[in-house]
Amino acid sequence: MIPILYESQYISLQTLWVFVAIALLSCSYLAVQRLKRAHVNFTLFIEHSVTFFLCALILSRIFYFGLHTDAYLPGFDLRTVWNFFSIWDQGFSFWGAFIGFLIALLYRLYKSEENAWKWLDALIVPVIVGMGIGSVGTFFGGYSYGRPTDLFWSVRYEVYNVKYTVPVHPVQLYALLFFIAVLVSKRWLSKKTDFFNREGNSTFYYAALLSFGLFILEFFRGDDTLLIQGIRLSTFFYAFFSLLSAYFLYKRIRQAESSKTHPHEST
Amino acid sequence: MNPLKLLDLSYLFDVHPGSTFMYFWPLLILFIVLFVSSFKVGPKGIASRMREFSVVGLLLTFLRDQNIPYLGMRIWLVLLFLAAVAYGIWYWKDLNKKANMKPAVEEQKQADKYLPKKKGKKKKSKRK
Repeated sequence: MIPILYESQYISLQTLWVFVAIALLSCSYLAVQRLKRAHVNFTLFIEHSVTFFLCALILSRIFYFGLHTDAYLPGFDLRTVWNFFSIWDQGFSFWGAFIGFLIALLYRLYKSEENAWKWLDALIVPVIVGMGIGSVGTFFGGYSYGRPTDLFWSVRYEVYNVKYTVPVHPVQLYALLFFIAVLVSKRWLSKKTDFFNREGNSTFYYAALLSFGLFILEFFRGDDTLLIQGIRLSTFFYAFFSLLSAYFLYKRIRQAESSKTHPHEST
Repeated sequence: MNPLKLLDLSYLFDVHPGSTFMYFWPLLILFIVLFVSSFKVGPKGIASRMREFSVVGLLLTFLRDQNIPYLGMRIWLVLLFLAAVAYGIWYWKDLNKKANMKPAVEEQKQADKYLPKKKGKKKKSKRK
């Protein structure tokens, strides 16, 4: 693995952050392209990008802080406050950033009276692409690694941030393959049905599938985080979101079916 | 192997059942054979059920082999086989029902032949 891409006396380029930067750039480019195609006021996205970024950064830090209380909160004193602001220790949570971005975006859409479903349908694909690129970065950097295994495709890390010296599941690559499969499946289904023409349906489809897949993948993870009854905290969140989005997806499917059988009843 | 163990809840719900189990290869072969043969089965419904059963089965066998907590519990494989048996019984009953109704349906079809066709239907077919 290559946790550090380039290192000199003054600068050190970490693979994970290089991939995060690539993910952010490609995500933003793709988002603008898709928003243009969705005929929404995409200048809103560019105008408030700094606010979105700051919200994402703050929530990301708060989430990471909350999930690693053993390291950051040994006891509450001035040092704890300082620890929170010392962001150069690279402690950020992806889901914190995602939720921060989503809250800021939805608030701005609500204020501008924009159709949120159109925005979410357009933005969810760039998010998945970004997550895919990010998972390559975590694979090379030795973050979000898997549990020990003896499978022939297992990987062995020799970096300080991986606690296992034995081969582990390349869970980041499983995630990458899963993201590709989700995107391909949606493309394939779009050709077969007109279900995705209705606003919001793509979001529910992706949300249900992604949260279910990530719920399964969480069980393969071997890195440390907050555990409840031996289960990672995020597993509960994925299970909850998976059920919630599956419920809404099911409702939308039923609505689509009933509007097909009774076309005059649908408004 | 003691089949009575399957009635023991602590055995079925063991969170870490261990990665070595004697039925790994039989299960793997069964699911692969089912998946491959599903492409040669005539009725579409059965073929897709066979594919679903084998894919879920392969996934559960993998989870069990990797001793993944909770997802690798024995209960999931037992439930999968119970679901397959339940589907088999339902399908067999449905087939019997259809076979019993066949003469009546044929009779109805014969009788319908002599009835005048609905005008609305004709128009629809013309539009097509």
